[in-house]
Amino acid sequence: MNPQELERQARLQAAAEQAERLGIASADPEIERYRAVIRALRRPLPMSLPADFARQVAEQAERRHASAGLEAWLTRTMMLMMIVVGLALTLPTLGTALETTMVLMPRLPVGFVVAAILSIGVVWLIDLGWTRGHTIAA
Amino acid sequence: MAVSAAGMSEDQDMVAAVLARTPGAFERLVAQYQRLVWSMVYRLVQHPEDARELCQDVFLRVYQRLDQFRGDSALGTWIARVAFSVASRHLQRKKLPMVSAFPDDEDGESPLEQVGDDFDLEAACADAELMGHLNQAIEALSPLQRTLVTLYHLEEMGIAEIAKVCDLPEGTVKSYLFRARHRLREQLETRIGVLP
Repeated sequence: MNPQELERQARLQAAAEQAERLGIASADPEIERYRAVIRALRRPLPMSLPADFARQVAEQAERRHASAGLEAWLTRTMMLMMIVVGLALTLPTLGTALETTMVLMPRLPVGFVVAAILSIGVVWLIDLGWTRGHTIAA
Repeated sequence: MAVSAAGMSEDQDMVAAVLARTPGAFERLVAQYQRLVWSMVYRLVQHPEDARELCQDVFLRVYQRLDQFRGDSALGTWIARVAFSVASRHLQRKKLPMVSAFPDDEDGESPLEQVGDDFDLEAACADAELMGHLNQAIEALSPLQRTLVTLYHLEEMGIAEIAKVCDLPEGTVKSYLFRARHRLREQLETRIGVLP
């Protein structure tokens, strides 16, 4: 389609839209053809959702919310138990471990420690940026 | 779906009620927007059973992520965007393209020029069979074009809102709408025998 014809068709479509909105028939058969298309596009689609769809979905959402809450509680409880068991197993030897660490710490290469901290920081920032960028925005 | 101050306030009230888990609030939200979601999803996937399941998925996702609604567009626009995302991902999983190119008539006389001007299309359109032809032609559009014409003509959304829903530039939305209407007109005239 050449640019002039494009522009002409665009004008016809705009005129058809206005004519359909105002409910005024046009003497131009081309406009009337576009009006027929617009009328077809405005016809409501047959609804195939059950009559109580809203209620069913609301109930399902509530059930999922409740089970998600239970799952979160179970996860927190399990983590707490792991921390308690871990502490119970390590506390007796914690004193010796700390003393050994304090002896070894000055011998660690400074560059290695700085690189480790920077790497963790970069990964955290990337993760933060990713999470923000993939939120469904309004 | 114009965004007015009163409309935004109603949206915020509805969202607040759902987030506060007020009894019946989410059911009212679903009832208000189920027609919009159904229209979009059904036009995209064109399969009633898939569309029903996807509508359910859309609203469950809306419930899960409603705390992310920031209020800088209408709630309907935000929900439509979720619906578009869910349905288009469904099409991707089924390896169905969202956009299909169609040939432009570049050589020779445009088919439109062959239509007799004395043809009484108004009378013909009263014929249910003709509307059936148009519906078939609409179903033959690409999924994206079907979505755009549905949002614009059936749901009466503005170009800017549609652009937000489908994450497209406004110019692209206008172009797709123009081409879809033009193609429908050509297909209508071919199917009713006006064009060869």
